[in-house]
Amino acid sequence: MKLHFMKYRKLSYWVSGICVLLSILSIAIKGFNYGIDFSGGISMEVTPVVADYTIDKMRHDLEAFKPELQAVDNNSILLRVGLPKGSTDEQLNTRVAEIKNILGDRVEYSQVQVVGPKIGGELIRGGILAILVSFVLMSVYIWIQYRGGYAVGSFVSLVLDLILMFGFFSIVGLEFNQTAIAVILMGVGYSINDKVVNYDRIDENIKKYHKMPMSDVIDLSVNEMLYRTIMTSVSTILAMVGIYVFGGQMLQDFAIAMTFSIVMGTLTSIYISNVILYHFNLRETDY
Amino acid sequence: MIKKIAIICIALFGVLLSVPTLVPSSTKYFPSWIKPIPLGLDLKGGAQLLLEVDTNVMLKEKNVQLYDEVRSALIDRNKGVIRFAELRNTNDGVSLNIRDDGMVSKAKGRLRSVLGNNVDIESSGKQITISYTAHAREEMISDAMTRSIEIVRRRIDALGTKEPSIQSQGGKYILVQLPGVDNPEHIKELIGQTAKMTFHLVNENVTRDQLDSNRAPSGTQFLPMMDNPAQMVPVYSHVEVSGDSLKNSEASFDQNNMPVVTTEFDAAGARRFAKLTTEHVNERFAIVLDGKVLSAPNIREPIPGGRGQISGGFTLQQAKDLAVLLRSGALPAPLTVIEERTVGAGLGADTIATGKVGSAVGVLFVLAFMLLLYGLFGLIADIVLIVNLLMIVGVSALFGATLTLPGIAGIVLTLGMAVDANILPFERIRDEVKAGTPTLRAVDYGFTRSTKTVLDSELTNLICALILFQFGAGPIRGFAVTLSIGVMTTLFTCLMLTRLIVDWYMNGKSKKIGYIRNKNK
Repeated sequence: MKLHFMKYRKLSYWVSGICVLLSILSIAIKGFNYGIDFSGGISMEVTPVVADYTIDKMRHDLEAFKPELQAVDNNSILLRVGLPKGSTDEQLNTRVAEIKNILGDRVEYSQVQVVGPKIGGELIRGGILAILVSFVLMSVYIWIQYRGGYAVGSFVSLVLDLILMFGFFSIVGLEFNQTAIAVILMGVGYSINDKVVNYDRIDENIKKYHKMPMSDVIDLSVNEMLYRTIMTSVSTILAMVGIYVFGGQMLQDFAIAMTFSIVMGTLTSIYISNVILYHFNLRETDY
Repeated sequence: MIKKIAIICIALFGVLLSVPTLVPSSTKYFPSWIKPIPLGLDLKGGAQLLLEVDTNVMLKEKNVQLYDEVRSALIDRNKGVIRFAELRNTNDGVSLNIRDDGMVSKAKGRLRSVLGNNVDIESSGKQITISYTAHAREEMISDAMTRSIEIVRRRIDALGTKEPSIQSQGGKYILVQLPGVDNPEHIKELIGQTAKMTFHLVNENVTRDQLDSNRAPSGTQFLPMMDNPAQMVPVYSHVEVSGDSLKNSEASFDQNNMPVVTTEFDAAGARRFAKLTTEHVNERFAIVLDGKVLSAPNIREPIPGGRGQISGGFTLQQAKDLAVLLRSGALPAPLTVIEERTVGAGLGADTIATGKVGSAVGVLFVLAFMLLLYGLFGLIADIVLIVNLLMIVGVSALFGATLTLPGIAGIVLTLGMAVDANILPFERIRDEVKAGTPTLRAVDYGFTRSTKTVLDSELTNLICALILFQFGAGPIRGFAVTLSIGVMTTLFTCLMLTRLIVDWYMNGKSKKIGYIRNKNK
């Protein structure tokens, strides 16, 4: 069996282009479902311990704070209070104390998160900077080990991966929080592994088949690696299935996003990072 | 042979390190440095507070001190008064004008000798500006951080919290982790107070009129009463005795059975307090805490022993808290809680329980899949994979790296790459065998050729992990640490251990079928 990836090169570009466009549009228009890690504010998961303390009563009690209340399974209530523009850390802390005071002994706190106005932005800026610097250095490493063309190819597809993963979080509306950052990092790591492995084979085949046209070398290499690429993805996804089914509610979103990252990293390896090498003259020695 | 033994020993050691994590009850049979992996608060429950140290306030106070020092240096009668004007605080120091042109360099010399090398002294014409050097400022900030951490630790210890972790983060933050704490409000309240206590005399000459119109005469401040902020007390700004001189403080009850805080000064503080109370009998003095007057009692008689009693209409809890605050000392700079994350112990336990099951099932799926795909080689890959996972856990525990949710993401990535590092050579071997290469040589070639691939992809990921560790914070770091450890253990297990086991197996097999001669060719 041999699949002709190079023949559908233009189609791959179009599909990726459209996905990138959709991602960017969604990020621009719909934005992210920011967890308070990024937006700042208060988020509490509470379980009423007094029998008749319902979500409506709680809403009434906390009216002044304009909370977002949402029933989650096993009787708990998720309570979110945003951060008004220009509020200070002190005001935020006072609010937490006041809310806890009002709810008193009528609830048990499963989870409380309070993030001040300054810290959220800091985290996301630092995170994105870290990711971009790591892209550059990984590409430099690939450059040193292989050639400039591979470095450009991997950098471009890593940026593509990143946009698509951000887009995924925006389109699906999964909460964008610290865990999301970890998932994206995992996706980046998985993707670069896949790309290096494929490049390694392409590099080997280029040396092996001197006369073969570039597009054939790429097709051959991708085909040779296809079984391995898919098997590796399937086994990693199997681990995610275990976590999704048995890992409990908290880990479920995590598993979904990780599965997406793995599938996407695999697809961009096959359809983009390999195919894009066509545009670089990898046989020249003077890179 | 020595190499083989070394590989086996390292693998066994790595696995051994993970035993306390897997079977917590076995910890007692291990030396103290082999511990279970510490779980992050997101997995085990507890409260985490991120505090910001407001160093600006502290630097401002230092500037005010600098003002006083400059002033007293120039009006020093013993060395000769240097006349000046317009002494004032600037943003980062003090500036003043020397009256007499000729005295500028003398003034600079005097200031240098009094203030030392911690300040920059510059002049243009008659104007002299003095500011702390960048180095001195950094020192002050790092000193304030160290002291703040120490004081926060004392306050938290005084509450009897179990195994708190208090560490500095990113230059101006303090990360406080309190395992098992469900509701940190009280702790937040305690560490949110500067607890700077000072004793002042009350200015009795202030008129009702001045007080009402809030026009304090120079050298006097109007401060609100703690329990009745509407009532202002006129106190002299001069600090008679400061809380730094307190040796001990306890909550107790006065003769009316009201909660009070009893305090005890150290020797120097006791002398100053005795002098104050002797010289000012029948005047009032004010006990000021963080800019609010706790109480302003009348001095009825000299108090020589250095023991005092602070009343302020406290509840017992307030008295206890105040005693803790005074015992642990004043913070050099105000602290603000800028982030709080609390995971209830119940939820934490649930997360761990289901997370354990989920991860175990996930790993079992992968193991079964490998077995299905590659049969006997799959079994070898499975053994190696298990060793790898155990080593990640063991090495993380050895380094005290905390396992958090992002860390699990790192482990999943490692798992994926480790599987890959096995599939790669196996596929090579399959291809070679299909092409007619004898099995032994195919195995050898498959492993040798994939070593570079595995090395390259793992090292690329290691670069990523190191950068993330360097630039990232919080969850990004947790991910990076686990990933780095994972890359190391994967390189070790997949490149060395797999090869070792496969070689053993092939050797045994080749002896049986007489392949050995073929290998020697």
